[in-house]
Amino acid sequence: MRSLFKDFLYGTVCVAALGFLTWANATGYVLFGQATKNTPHHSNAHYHK
Amino acid sequence: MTKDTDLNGMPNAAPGDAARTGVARPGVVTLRCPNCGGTVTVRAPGKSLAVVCQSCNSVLDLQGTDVANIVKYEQPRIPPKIPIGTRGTFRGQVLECIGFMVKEEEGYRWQEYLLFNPRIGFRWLVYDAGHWNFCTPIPAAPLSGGRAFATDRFVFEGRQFQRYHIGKSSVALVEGEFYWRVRIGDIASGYDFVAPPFMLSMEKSEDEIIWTRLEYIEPEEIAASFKITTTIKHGVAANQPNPYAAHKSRTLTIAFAAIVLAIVVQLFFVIAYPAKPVRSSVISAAPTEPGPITLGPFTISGRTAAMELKTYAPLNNAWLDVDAELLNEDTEESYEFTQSLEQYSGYDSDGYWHEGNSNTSSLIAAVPAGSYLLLLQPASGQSGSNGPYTGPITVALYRNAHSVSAFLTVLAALCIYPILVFVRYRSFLKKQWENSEFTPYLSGASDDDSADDDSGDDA
Repeated sequence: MRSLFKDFLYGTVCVAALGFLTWANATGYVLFGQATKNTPHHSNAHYHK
Repeated sequence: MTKDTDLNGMPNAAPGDAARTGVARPGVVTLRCPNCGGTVTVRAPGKSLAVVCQSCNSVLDLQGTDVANIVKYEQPRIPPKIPIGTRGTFRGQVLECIGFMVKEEEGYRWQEYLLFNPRIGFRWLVYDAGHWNFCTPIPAAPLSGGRAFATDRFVFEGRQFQRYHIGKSSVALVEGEFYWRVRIGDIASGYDFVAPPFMLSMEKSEDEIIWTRLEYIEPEEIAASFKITTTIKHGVAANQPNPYAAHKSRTLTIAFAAIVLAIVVQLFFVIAYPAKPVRSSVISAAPTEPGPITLGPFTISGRTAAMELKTYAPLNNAWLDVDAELLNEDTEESYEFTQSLEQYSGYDSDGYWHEGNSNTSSLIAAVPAGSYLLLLQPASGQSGSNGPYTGPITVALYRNAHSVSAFLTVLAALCIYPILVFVRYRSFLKKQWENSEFTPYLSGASDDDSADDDSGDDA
């Protein structure tokens, strides 16, 4: 019974992991991405205008 | 209680039977011990060939018409888990415990209980460190005696049995009655093969070879059948079913399905949204004008997706850093990163050596559609005797970059739990085989020598 519950929990983790993978691919999310995103205030946009 | 249970046709011994001698009731005989005069009850008359007097421990020969005193033993009293005379209903059969025996091998002891039912004959229960096995004789030997010694594994009744143990056991203590002329000190060679929950055991004595099938029984079932206290298991029995086997199978099935689905999801996005070049250019590592080199503006359309900037410079014993910024003209948000390239090579006492790379790439996460500029600021410097790199730099910006980091992270996350379950499953097996000289879970093979030593006696 306990092992069935553990399998259920593991199945939930699997569904969450697959959901995360789908979301990451759909939104272009990059784990450990190299680029730092800057807000307008901190960007160099003003320099190029 | 089981005393009143009908033993499938064999009448019960009433409490008063023990006081009488001669034939008391059909099926149960009481005798007078020729050694001490004590009363001896024979529960399987006509079947048993020896009975032990409970008063003086003499083993009485029941083969002839007169009871003969075989030999008297001085043996310690060990209370049996199932007292002699106890009846129980085990898997639909009423069985009476008529004999109790302690056997030993190199100082290690276990208990064997002889059960009797006139309709099905004799059965055994083996008790060892809290574990129980129900034993039934096998009429047709799975292997010949010689092959049993030499065979690692064989298939019997659709199961593959693995050789587990070869050893010599001796009878250390007897109580009750037996269907052969039992003697303390009787030695037999044992060959055990396991396929949980079963074990096939070949016992080879001076004059016969007996094959027995043992089935592992949970202590609770024995306790319920014979109305005894549940025994506490110690260690792992040779043929004890692995309690993690079902869990392992389920977990691996779930993991396999999830991994296949993860691969399908990843492949779907790679195929449905292939990487597309957005902008590529060749710039100089030594620009004539100060400030960053600006590429664009260019338009990025479609869904929010990752981008990748691939950079190549034919470096030769030089290094190059490129500070890059992808700037959204509409929102003024920007993505900054630095790319580093270096490549060195030469000759030393070991010959040609080479390190570094002329290529690099960077991923930019979640870039929405819009009008963008790519700002690049190359920088290089002195490297040994070489001056700064001033050659061309090829840059290419791609849309729909596919990062494997999320995919690999998900795969790792999916594998952690199944690995833990498998380790636990395997550690049970390892523990189960640690008493076997044929364990496949240890590298030490010195135990095989002891098995070889037996071959001379048993062949």
